[in-house]
Amino acid sequence: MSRFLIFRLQPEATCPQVASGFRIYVASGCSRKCVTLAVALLVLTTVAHAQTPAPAPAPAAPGPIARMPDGKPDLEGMFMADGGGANYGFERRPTVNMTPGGRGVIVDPPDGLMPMLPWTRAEVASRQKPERGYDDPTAHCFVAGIPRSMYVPSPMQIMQPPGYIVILHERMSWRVIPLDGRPHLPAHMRLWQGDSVGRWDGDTLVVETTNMNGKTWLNEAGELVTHAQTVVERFTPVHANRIDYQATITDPLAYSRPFTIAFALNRQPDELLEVACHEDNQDLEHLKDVKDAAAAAGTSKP
Amino acid sequence: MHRRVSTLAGVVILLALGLAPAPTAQSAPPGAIPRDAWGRPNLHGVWQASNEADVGLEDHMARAGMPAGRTVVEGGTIPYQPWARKKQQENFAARATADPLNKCYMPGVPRIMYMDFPFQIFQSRNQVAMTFEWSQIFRLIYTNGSKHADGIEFWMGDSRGRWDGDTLVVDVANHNDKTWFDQSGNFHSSELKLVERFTMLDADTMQYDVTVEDPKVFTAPWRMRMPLHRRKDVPRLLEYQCQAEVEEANGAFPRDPLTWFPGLQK
Repeated sequence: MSRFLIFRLQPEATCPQVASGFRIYVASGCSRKCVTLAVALLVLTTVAHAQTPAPAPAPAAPGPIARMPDGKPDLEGMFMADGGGANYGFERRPTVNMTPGGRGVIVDPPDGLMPMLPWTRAEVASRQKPERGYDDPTAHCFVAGIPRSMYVPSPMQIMQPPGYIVILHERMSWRVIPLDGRPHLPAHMRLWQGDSVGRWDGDTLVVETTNMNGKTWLNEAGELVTHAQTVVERFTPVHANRIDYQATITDPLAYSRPFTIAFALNRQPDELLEVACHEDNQDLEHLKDVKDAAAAAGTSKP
Repeated sequence: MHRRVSTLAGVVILLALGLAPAPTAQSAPPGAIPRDAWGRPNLHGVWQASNEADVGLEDHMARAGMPAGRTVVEGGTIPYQPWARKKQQENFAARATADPLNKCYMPGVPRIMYMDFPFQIFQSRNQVAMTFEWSQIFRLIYTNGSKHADGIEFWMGDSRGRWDGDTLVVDVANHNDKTWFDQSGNFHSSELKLVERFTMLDADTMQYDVTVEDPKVFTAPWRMRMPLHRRKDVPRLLEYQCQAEVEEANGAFPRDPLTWFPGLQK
């Protein structure tokens, strides 16, 4: 059985959005309960919605990009990635059984394939075994790292106070990106979300992230990065409701060349809620059972 | 999940009980505090409490791993209903396993505000954000006049703010009943409502006052007060990923030598 059947039970796969636009996992976090709670919560949120002012509808024709008093683009607001299935694999692929397909998000190299070194390819294949599902840090509800935080199917709030870009991820993590030209942390200081600094290149926000700890995965397909990873992201507003997003990943320990992913961030007429992932994590125990069973059967190294 | 009484009702209850809103802390002379583009006090920066409130909100003597401290509660004592004081004492006795923080669950508000970790405040036109070093949690406080998201409970509550002169006033509602106020087992129900008041006393000191109301647990609203201090020595927050650190320490999330940072290179 594909391990993706297991992962389909995770919140990102089952609970991000329903047709009406109400998110249904709200304070319940990530668990199989999302599936059974969906109807009840939909009713609740609908009731709540009926008693509160409706969010402003998205304008039919999006306006020009908003600007700050200093003329820089104003990126503030709630956004959600149109991630193209990046959280389940970067390359183009069909849906197979319960494994979500994807349109492919790699724009460089032009063939859309990840330029993996041989050991990288072997390790990614290993991570796709069901018993390795436990090893995905997001199965433990740890923070997703960079760039994965941007395309887990969960919205984000961008703030632009003076001198900073701040991104609040509903899946309970944040990025503070100073724009004051400060240097990165010293190389021995490593973080789950890395150390990000930003600058404006015309209307494009350019963010460079270093000091990664190598503990994060790129997605549920086990596509990997190491502690040598650096990421350069480009946020280019296209109109009032859309930011084009690109991330170039350089990791010479794992890849033969840098590669770039791209997708849109779309404005949401909504408010950020709270994902209590760890507090309600019932999937990890299940994944641990699969891992332990495989170890007991001798199909996996302990 | 169930519906909460409205904030307005909470204010009415407060007034009925004769407890006026906390007086605005003594105003600083004009120009002594930084201001934002809209003339409001600018709370930007890295802040941290410097007290033992997270060990115990009331007067407490030292225990292993728990420094002694004086109360931050106005009047000294939390006005528990009798059954609730008994419950708090049971919580205290069982704290090693019962404190939700020992499971790395979100601490809730107000506890996150006085834990022994720095946090950073950002302020733009319609929101105030607080990012916490502890487990990368955050508070997003809307200051655009929007209403609480009724019908939903949050570990960190639902915060709606407004400026009352030079004081940021935040109504926090829609809490769950799973968080504690401190390591001493002080607790609340999901009826909890808070009114927080943030007032800059000078450029590097902020008064933090909280009015606590929970008719299921307390006999009357009560108030805690403490200063928060600017951490000038912290130019940026680092990370304390609580659950990840626990699982790495106990072997549940083992090192991957293929990808993890190998440590200091000599």
